[in-house]
Amino acid sequence: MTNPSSQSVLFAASEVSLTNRPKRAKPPVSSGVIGMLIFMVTEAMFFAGLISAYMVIRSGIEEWPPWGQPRLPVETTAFNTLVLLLSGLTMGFSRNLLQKQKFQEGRRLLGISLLLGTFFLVAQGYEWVQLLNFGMTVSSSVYGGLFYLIIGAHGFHVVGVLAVLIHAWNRLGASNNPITAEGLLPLQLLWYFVVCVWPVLYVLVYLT
Amino acid sequence: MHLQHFLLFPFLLGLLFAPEIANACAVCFSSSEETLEAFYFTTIFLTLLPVVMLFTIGYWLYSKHRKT
Repeated sequence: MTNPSSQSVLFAASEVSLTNRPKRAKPPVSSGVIGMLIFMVTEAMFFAGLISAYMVIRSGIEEWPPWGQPRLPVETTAFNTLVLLLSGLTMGFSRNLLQKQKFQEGRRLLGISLLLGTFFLVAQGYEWVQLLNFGMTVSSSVYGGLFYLIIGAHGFHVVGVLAVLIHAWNRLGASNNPITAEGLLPLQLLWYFVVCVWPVLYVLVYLT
Repeated sequence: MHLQHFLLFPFLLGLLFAPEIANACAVCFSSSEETLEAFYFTTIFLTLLPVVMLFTIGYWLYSKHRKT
């Protein structure tokens, strides 16, 4: 059994060790970013699978697009591609501004980026309506099936990321529980992914 | 010899030759050179893509960790 004096020395020593304990270092990359990167790897594999299926199926069919199927609007979609790339660019600029604590300007640019993304989505929807009117459906041919599957999968991603980004945009200026520039980064990364995948799909489906 | 054994022999023999007749493979729709090349390319693509991505992310995290 220890006497009271030795106990007090023990407590004093423990207090010293607690106060002198080094602070936990900030991780170089946030958990949100790492989580999003892992998610993006799975998404990339998903699109890689679709691209591979497209290439294999297409290689076995001599006439592409098949007879009786409408040609895809290459020029309109090229313009739409530029709009989406511009959206990615404005997203990058907004990130820079938000990092410099310029919240108003950063939020404005983020809004422009979201508007451009919405324009891309609406234009794609209009294109789909036109193609459906021309008789190109999911079941009309392998061509139609692959087109709607691949472009639809990308469109679905655009819808999802836009919805989450609009929610984040609202929280960026909110007085109660606002989102920070660092908190927004994983969502911005996902938007860059969606933007970067599109040119690959455009070249594959529309140009080749 | 039972009847079951008598029927089993032609059934097993049939299994040996059935794949050639049925062409049941889900991806055996074309035997052209282009399809073969597409299979080679996509196999390499799907094999290397995750390795490249994970290595890139791992190296990036490692370099960030070293800087801090």
